[in-house]
Amino acid sequence: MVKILVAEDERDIRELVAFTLQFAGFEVILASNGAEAVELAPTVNPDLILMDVRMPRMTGYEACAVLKNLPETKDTPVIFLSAKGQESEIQEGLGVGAVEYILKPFAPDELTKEVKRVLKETGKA
Amino acid sequence: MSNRQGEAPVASIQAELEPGAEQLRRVGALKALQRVMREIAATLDLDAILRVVLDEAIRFGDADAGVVVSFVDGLPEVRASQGYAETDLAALQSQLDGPRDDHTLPQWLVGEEAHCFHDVSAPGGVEVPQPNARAMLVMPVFYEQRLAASMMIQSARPGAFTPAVIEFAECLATQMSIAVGNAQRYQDQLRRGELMHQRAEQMSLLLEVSRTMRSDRPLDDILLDMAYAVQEGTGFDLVLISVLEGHLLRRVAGAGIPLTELEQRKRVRLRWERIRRLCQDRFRLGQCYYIPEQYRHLTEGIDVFVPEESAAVSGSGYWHTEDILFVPLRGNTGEIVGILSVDRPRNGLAPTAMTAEVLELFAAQVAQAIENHRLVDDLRRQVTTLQLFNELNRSITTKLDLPLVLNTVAQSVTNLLGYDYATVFLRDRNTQHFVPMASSGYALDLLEGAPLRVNAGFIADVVRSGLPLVVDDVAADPRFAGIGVPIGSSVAAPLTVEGQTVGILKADRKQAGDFSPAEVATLTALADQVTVAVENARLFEEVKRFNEELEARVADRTQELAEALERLRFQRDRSEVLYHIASELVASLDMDRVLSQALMLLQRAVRASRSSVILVDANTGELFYRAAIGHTHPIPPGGIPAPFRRDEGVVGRALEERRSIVVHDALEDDRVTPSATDAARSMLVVPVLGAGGESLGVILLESPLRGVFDEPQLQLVEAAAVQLGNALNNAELYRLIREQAERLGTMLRTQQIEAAKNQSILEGIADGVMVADASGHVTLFNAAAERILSITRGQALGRPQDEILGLYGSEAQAWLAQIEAWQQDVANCGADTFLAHRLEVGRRFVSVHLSPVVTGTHEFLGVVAVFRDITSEIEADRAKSDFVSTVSHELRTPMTSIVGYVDLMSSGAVGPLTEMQLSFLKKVKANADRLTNLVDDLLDISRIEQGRIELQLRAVAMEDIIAQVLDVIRPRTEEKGQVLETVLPPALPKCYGDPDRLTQILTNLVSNAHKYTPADGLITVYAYVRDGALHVAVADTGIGIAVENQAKIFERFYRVEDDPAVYEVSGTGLGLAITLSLIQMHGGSIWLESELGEGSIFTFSIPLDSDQPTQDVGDLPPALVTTAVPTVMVVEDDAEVAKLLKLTIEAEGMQVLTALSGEEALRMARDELPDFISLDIRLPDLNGLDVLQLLKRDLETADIPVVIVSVVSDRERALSLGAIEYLAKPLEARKLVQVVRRTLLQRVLVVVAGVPKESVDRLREILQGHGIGIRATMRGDRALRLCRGLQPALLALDLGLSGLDGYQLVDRLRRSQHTAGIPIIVTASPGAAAWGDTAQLENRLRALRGVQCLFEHPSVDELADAIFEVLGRPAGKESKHGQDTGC
Repeated sequence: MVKILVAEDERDIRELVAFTLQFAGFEVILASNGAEAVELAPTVNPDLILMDVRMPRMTGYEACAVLKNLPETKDTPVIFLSAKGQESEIQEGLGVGAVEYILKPFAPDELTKEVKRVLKETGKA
Repeated sequence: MSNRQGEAPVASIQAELEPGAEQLRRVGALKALQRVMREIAATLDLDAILRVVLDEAIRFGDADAGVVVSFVDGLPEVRASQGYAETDLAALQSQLDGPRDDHTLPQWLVGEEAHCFHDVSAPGGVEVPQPNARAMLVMPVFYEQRLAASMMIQSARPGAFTPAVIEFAECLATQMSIAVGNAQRYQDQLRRGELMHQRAEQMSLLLEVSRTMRSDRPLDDILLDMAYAVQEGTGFDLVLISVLEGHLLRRVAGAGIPLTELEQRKRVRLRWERIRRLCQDRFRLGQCYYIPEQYRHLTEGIDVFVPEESAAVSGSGYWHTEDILFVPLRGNTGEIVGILSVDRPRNGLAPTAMTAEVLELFAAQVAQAIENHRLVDDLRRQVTTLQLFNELNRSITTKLDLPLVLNTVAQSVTNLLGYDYATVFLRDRNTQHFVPMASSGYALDLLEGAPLRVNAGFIADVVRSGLPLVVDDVAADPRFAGIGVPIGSSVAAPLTVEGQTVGILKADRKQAGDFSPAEVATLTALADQVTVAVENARLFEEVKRFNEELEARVADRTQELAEALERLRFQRDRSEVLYHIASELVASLDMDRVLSQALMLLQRAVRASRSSVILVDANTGELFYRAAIGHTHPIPPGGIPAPFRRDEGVVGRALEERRSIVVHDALEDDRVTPSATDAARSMLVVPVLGAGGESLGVILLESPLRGVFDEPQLQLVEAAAVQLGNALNNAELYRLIREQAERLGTMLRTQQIEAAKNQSILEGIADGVMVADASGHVTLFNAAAERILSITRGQALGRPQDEILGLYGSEAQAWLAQIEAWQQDVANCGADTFLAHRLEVGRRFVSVHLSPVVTGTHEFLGVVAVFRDITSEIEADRAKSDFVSTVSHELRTPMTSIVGYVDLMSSGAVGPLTEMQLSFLKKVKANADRLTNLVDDLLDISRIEQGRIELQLRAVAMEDIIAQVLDVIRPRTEEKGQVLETVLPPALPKCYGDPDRLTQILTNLVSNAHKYTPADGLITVYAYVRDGALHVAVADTGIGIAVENQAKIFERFYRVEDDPAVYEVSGTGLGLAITLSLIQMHGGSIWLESELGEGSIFTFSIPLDSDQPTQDVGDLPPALVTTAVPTVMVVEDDAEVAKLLKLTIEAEGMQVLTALSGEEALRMARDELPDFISLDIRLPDLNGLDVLQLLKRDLETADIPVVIVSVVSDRERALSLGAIEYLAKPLEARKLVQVVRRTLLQRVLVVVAGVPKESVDRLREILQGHGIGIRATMRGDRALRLCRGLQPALLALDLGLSGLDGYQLVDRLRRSQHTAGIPIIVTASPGAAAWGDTAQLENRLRALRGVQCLFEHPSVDELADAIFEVLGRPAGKESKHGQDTGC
């Protein structure tokens, strides 16, 4: 089963994402901030990481930068989920190694579609 | 004659003489010789001489007898004798004639030597006819070394003849020789005389013959005489003379032929060809031709003389009855003019060279006769013709009455040229028919009313060839079918003027037969004369008309002159008075004095007893006496009110009608109010008019006498009234100027106070103000400026502004450049011209606002700079933006949860829902979406305002963006039943922009269109290039935006509040504001065109990528304007003139487009499809006529009426190229407007769409014949535009049109109330088959009212018929004038 690590500080959204992905048949591991995601990722070894940008303790960008430097997770595709839709922000996100940038608010089926597409492109599914 | 010859022997004899008996004998000999010589000299009678010689010889020789024999033609003949009896002589003669021998005398007589016999009776002697003869001397006589004669003398005495006698005989022989010579010569002379006589005889015969020729008798008579002469002179019994006429031989005269037979032969003509066949060399005899009987087969068909009876003699050398002998008769130049044939020679022999010679001799005479006659004939004809022409010329030059001349011509043709009929046809200018104008030989009514068509019968041939038509046999010629008069042959000669046949002169004969070239030539010459006559008559008519006009004009002028003279005289009289009045009036501005003086002069001049100036009070409208003379009470300064109203009596009437009134007798004039007649019987009322023609008052002159005032006086007073009007005006002006000056003085004072106030205000306000004058020096620098800019007033005042502004680095350079630009282009500086900038001074932000100070007359006074410390505003703004950014982010987070969970529930992922639950969830979702959009828009706005949006500019293919946006929106439009489509050119250049932002812009516009367009509406996206920029237009058929709201919709949060249709649609009111900002950031612009209820068109422009072609591509959307306001395109290279025309024409309620060059005109004509074009010929790039041609060549613009504006010389060319009208320069706008109005009003218009050019050309031709104009286009969108703008009577559309398909076009026309009523004919050309299922289309179209479908590929004519059917006009033949109307 494909494993997806979801890092999101807002609980409602975290659960929404979790439900959506589980409903689509993925195994979901949850983290409530960037630091927790960095902690969990090497051990969980997910096929894909879905991360909010603005999070306490460590932002999504910071976490992504760290993960990309870890041997266990450097090849794991990262998708940002953010309400910040400005071009420069998206560029920044992609600059730290993310493969996709999904804007909030999003429709759950769009999220599923996007995740499946990235998995397929990176050869994880 | 022979004396000299005799001298030599006489001399020799004398020399030998000696005295004595011998001497005597010699004297005797000499005497004898003398006698002989005398005789010879005396007579030419040889016989007499011979007798004398013989006598002398006998006497001298003492002989008994002697004879002289002479040789006539070699035969001896006894010519003289003595001593011989008749019988002896006869015997001698017979001996001479018979065989001779030596023993008879004759032998000796014919010998050539002299012999002297002593005794002839001696043995071996000679037998002499006289038996007693013994001695005999024979002496031969030679003449020209031939024996001419012989003399013999004899004596009975033997040896009687001594040597002296012999010598003497020799002398005599010599003398005889002379005599014989003389005689011989004489005989020759005689014979020659005989010959000459014969010749003279022949000559006299020929002379006789030629004398017959000389007379002016008919040729036939002459030839008859000649035939008899030939008969007489050549030895032939039968003579026949034939004359060659054309190719036929006519028997003219004969001799020896029975009269009946001759007459019969005369009637039969023989083709020359037959005779010529016989003229072969083998038959030649000199110049004659002799065809013997054995060649009879060659003469078949030639009626030779009938043999009377078979001749007995036959064989060679004899004439045979069927032999033919003839001589061709040759004229002076050798051509054959006839033949002379003879038969039955009297001697019965075949002809010899001699015969031929004689025949030739006569033939020459006959030929000469024919030739002469012909010459005479020609001469006579020429004389006749010349006389005729002379006559005609005289009648043509003296009588210019054309019918008379033509009648004379016709009469002449029949009377003088020997034709039976003559007709003169003239071509009618209008019908082109040939109308018989004059005739002779038959009644005109035979032909009257029967004009002949130019393209039929013989007329057609003559007109086509321009040459005379000669018809020998009219009956057999179909070209003369239907000509009622029975004619046999006819010549029709054209009357030609400048290559055009204007008429025909036709001459006919009753009989069939041929015409000689001379006859045809005469008739042709006559036709030329007639042409001259026709031309002359026409010219004369014109001259006559000119003359009449001239006379009329001269008469008019004379009349005018006389009147002018009269006027002048009167003028002179009154000008003096007027001069005085005028000088009084201008002398002073004191009106009281002026008026009194003027009245005084006037009253005196017209002999009135009382006069007054009554004026209208400008304020109350009441009348008052301003000045008066002769009244009982003087008028106080400023006047007194009049005792009557302004609508009363003659004064009132004069004021009202602004016309002078003369009252001759007030008692009998009902115009006069009775109260005013107290003292006056005569009145003269003249209105005084102001500068604008308004009535200021009247001059009233009165007299107690009747009929005092007449016309000249009236004119004088009227002239004075004009002066008075001027004076009143001047006084009024003077008053105005004085008031103005006072007001200005007051104003000046006020302004000074104002300026001081302003100064202190400027000093006192919180914003820093710096004012610089035109030279750039600072003149004002307030306290706030000192504070804000940290510069003291002392440092600033009087210094150049660039020094102050220069403190702010490079930015200041831009300001200074701008200030300079303002100074250069003052005219374009308005109240709203300014330059705003932000400046950082230390830690503070300062807003700088620079504006030029310009007077109303475009005088640059300087610059005002306002500085405001905006540090706190900037900070507050930043805080606000940060706040908006943060808040929107914070808002988005809960939105994510709301939207996410609602979506999850809606998708059924967490269990089934009821319908109602689902519908509620949808509402939640819609509002959440709206909120999200609001947040997005807010965020965008805040970023834009903070300048925090950066465009990712690159080359962008707009068509991809359009496709992408339409793909996204299409599901929504389809759901609503809207049609979403594009109109794109095949190759669109790339623009330079941010693809995401462009997508956002277009999404916004298309989405708006979707929202504000009802179901079944239409949304069209156009892309095209104009002015070097890419344009995208989004057009919809939606609710439209009222004009008053159009400017506001780009404002933030603006939504049209009074329209419920708008409020039905969700929106933030930020979309267009963001769109505007984004487009401006791209360096583009956006605008809209909208009509309530018709739809909207939003168009934006984006710069093209740098390396892209910038020429125009693609089509503009059709204008929404549906008003019938005509659009006039003015093509004029002078911008000032163009501007003036634009203003003037717009004032007439028309729209105006101006094009400054030919290229621009062509482009604009295609894009804007104006209703009318005014085209100046002189343009900077193209010639106006070329532009006209290009317009006419293009189907899309071919039917726009064009009026050419230029100088006169181009007129014809312009009209021939299709301009409808020509207007001279300078162009008067009013005239142009008239032409436009007239042209557009007159036209019944049909719009033709999608029909190929050739068919359109044909259709145009047909419709124009019925006064129907067309406008054609291949494009559907243009057709829509034309229908909206022109409101045509009908639309004919073919499914082959592009841009907008047939159904879309029809559908759209039906949607608008302006165009719904236009009848439509739809056709399907073969090319449109690919367009789709026509049957289905037809069903759709037929369902629409007023649409007629002709899908069977109708011809142009069928289409035209269908159009006529709809427009209610009969489809008939095109009228001839159709082509002339042009346009």
